[in-house]
Amino acid sequence: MAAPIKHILTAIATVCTIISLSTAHAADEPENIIKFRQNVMKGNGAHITNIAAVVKGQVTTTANLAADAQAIADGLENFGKLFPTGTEGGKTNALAKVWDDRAGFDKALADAQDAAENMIGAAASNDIATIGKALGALGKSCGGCHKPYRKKM
Amino acid sequence: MLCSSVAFRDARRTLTTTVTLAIFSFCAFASENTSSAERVSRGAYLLHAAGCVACHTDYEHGGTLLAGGRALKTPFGTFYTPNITADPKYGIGNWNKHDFITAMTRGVSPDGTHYYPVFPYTAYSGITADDLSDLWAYLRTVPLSRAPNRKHDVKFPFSIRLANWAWKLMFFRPVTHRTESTHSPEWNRGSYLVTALGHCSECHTPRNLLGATKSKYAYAGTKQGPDGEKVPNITPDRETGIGDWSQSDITWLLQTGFLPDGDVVGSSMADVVEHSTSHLTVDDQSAIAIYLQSLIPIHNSVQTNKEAEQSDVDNW
Ligand code: HEC
Ligand code: HEC
Ligand code: HEC
Repeated sequence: MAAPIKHILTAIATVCTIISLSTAHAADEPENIIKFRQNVMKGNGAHITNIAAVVKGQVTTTANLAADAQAIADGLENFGKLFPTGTEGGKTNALAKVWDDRAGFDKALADAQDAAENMIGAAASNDIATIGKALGALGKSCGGCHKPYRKKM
Repeated sequence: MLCSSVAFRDARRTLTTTVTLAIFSFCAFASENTSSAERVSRGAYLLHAAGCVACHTDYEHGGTLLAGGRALKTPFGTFYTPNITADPKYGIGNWNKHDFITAMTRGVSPDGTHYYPVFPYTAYSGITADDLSDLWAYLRTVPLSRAPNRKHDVKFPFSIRLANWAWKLMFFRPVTHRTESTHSPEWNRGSYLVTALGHCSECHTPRNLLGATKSKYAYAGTKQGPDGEKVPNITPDRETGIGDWSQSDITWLLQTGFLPDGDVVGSSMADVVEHSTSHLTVDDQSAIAIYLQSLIPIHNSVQTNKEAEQSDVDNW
């Protein structure tokens, strides 16, 4: 077999394998999206814990504050896209109300985004009292969405 | 001078807007002489510490402070809290101090009616006479509200008030708070804040079929808390309680509502933090933590959604 034909056949085979692989594990299965959004949230928790460690005086390095605050804002930026129809069932703690009252959910998200932006500003101030205040307000905004839209423990 | 430096520390550490109130009362505690203005401000502090505000104010529907009307759902039916402002017709304006103390410590109204134990007089019977006087002094100063009381919506036989009398015969033992000399003053303060004022066991201790708390499982959590919520185990058991929390994890939660993993506490505990524990002084928050960490660990898993998620991850 001539070399060019061999290459073409290999290429075709590779394409077929990729297609079959991706159909066997279809992308954007509801369970994958649910896991994904839960991980975004767990990340928020981790960044909050880091900021809190500085506020509590357990860690004196303030170098990471800006990155932690930015990461929360970025995570929230895309969070609304992670609730497509079809992801309301299964292993999720999101309540059906997320889909029934989408406007309210988006409002709670926008409030949290504002609080996260405010956190970024506070982080830049390097003033612990200001950072602590912003963190408290951010926490309130997290609760402002969890209370109506997340299952109780 | 001392008070103002404490004030500064508090303001930095408790992160609450109402911290001035706490400082005010802290300063009042420090003072020997209790003028009536001091009594009133101490009363305001105690009102928060004891959680009266959250139960007797219908925040969800924009209700006036202490005007009642908040619905409390229980397995026995729905209770609506009464108006406890000093309005003579709609509130408790024509009560005297003795009436108030009898209601708080014996669960009996001026006309001899027995209250339902949803009003946590079982815990409040341990409040000191001094603190009750201060609470009373403050209640006389709250703006009056003409909000009428709403009838409870309770199932038979609990709808009969006489049943409360029988219930109390079986389960109600007024407590007197004694100082335990084998423990530190901080521990004793914590014990008083948790058992008498904070009535934490009203939610965190499981109940029997008749709604009495099972003292053997004090603070071990329950799957059937108020409003049908699951309430976690707060004994220092490592696996199922808060044994792996540090003292500062606990005070941080009481101040801000943040859990050690950065999540925010939810359900009725969010109200407890907002209207009660975040208003306390740092010293009182620490005292609560010290007391909780000294409890006997009880192994009782109140499985949470997060744990269900976790075990799924483990299988996978
Ligand atoms: C607009 C709504 C909304 C906002 C704002 C929000 N959350 Fe969430 N959060 C949710 C929902 C819904 C879930 C449940 C997701 C699921 O199970 O599918 C959740 C779950 C979580 C979890 C549990 C994740 C897991 O499965 O282990 C954590 C931790 C968390 N959030 C932290 C935060 C923090 C911290 C903030 C604030 C910075 C925040 N959340 C803001 C809606 C929100
Ligand atoms: C868990 C919710 C809850 C908390 C906390 C609570 N109460 Fe109440 N309270 C009630 C309910 C419910 C009643 C009505 C009981 C009944 O009708 O049998 C009541 C009744 C009363 C009454 C009698 C009013 C009347 O018109 O007869 C007074 C006074 C009172 N509470 C004061 C207080 C004070 C002071 C505090 C704080 C130290 C407090 N309560 C905390 C739920 C609560
Ligand atoms: C009105 C009922 C109620 C009262 C009163 C109450 N709690 Fe809670 N508590 C809860 C509920 C419900 C949760 C779970 C919250 C959640 O779902 O995030 C909780 C959570 C907690 C937690 C976090 C435990 C964990 O594992 O996440 C601690 C600590 C705690 N409470 C301490 C206290 C203390 C101390 C008091 C008294 C000052 C108190 N609670 C009074 C209902 C209550």
